[in-house]
Amino acid sequence: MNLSTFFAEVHPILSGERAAGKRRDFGSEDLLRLSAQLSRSKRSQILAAVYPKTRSALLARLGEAEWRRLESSYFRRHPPRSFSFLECARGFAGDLRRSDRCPPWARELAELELALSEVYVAATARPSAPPAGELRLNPTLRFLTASHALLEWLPSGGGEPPSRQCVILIWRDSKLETRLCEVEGLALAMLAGVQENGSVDPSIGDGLDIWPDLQRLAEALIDSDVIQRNPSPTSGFTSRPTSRF
Amino acid sequence: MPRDVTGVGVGVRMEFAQELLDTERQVDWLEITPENWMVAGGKNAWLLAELSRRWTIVPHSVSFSIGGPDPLDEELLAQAFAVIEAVDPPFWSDHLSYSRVGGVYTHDLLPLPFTDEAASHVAERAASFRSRLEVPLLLENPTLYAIPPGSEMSECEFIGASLRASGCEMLLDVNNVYVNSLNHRYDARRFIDQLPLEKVRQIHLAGHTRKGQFVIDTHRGPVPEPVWDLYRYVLRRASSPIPTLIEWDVDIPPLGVLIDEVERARACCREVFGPP
Repeated sequence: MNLSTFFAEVHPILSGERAAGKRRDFGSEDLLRLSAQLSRSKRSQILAAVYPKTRSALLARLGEAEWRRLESSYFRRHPPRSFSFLECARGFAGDLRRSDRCPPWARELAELELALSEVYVAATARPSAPPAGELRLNPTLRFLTASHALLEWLPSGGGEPPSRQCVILIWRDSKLETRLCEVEGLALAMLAGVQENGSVDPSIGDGLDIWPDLQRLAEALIDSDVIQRNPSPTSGFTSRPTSRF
Repeated sequence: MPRDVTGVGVGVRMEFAQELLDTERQVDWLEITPENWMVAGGKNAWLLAELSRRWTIVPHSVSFSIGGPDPLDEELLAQAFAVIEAVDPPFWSDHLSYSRVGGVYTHDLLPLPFTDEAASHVAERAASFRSRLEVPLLLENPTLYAIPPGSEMSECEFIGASLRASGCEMLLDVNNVYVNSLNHRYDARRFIDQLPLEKVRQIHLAGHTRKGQFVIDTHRGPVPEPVWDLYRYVLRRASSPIPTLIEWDVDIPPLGVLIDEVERARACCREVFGPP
């Protein structure tokens, strides 16, 4: 048997994609079964590595057979064409939308886990500070809109997450730790201002008696490295009139 | 300038990479699975830079599919080149097997048929790897479960033929020899006797797991006693100490337990060759 024939005819059997049928030239049939089983389990490790909590939640809710079906269906549509588990698994979160049996919160959980993995390995920004006088968003920052309170639910992971519209921030801080938190309207308005103008829009609190709260919020976002500022004492947020912040 | 590899090292896993930087116990060198460190940034990139300041690091990949039919993956080559730039390794290792067909990765190391054609094919691919990355390549003997049909020679002969044809040196995984010897019922020492030990540049030691009547190369748990025995047998037949690496990938223990294994491997070397 030449190598071309080997890869065409034997490889699908060794890798567990096809049964051996009448072939009896692999030596032990038990060892061939073991080989195919181990090979298939290697592929399963891809989704387990990138979506561990989604996998556990769906195994508990839908059972192993349905999880296997989701996994096989995904890899049929997206054969692993990269050595990177993250690249091979990237489409799974979106693919879950095709499944009638997958609850919407599990799709959101998958999107959250994908974002966590992407942020963990995202390019490290050059250590340069933003231009003097400007604020900027952490370059790794991601926004995830969800209709379930995933962060409230994740510590226990039992049952289902409560329904609630929310926005989750995912980012990597200056100690290279991946972090996430849920934010509400004011923080989002503040982040939008930083993204668009490199500053906090001083009008976001107009008509509200919340300046101390806004200031604390801005400092918290800076302390946690969601917003980055030039360390110059005359720049960014601190250059705003203190009467406004 | 490439750095040297001597003594006993460990395969770095994220679970203890930070702890490794802080330990005062002696680990002589490190091995990484480079695919896990091919990242644009973040903690892995920082850790790799820090680790390479202190230790010689050898990349041990699982994805080059050296025996496979596809051209080498250009994206993987580019990322491998970045790893070489980062750690300046004295050599690189991968497996005498294949893991990619028709552009699709198996993420598993599958066996080649033991034929002259396959050995020549490995030689061409190894030459292509070396010319692209300009680093010596070691080939590791893989674990075999199903024996590939169409073989014309023994596994040992195939390893020898592949090393001769490619000019590569060998990474001898002693645990793989032991696991294969149990699953395929042969004498592991006789297998070692037939290997070209003068071409062995590095050794792997690891644990395995029994599953029914078979044994699986899981890299779980401490190195089992029969593998230590076989390791000593290899050393006694070698003319000088061979750099050795402890692999532990599943249920990873505290770093101290892993370094106990490193010290045990050092003790084996002293037992055979005397004090360094």
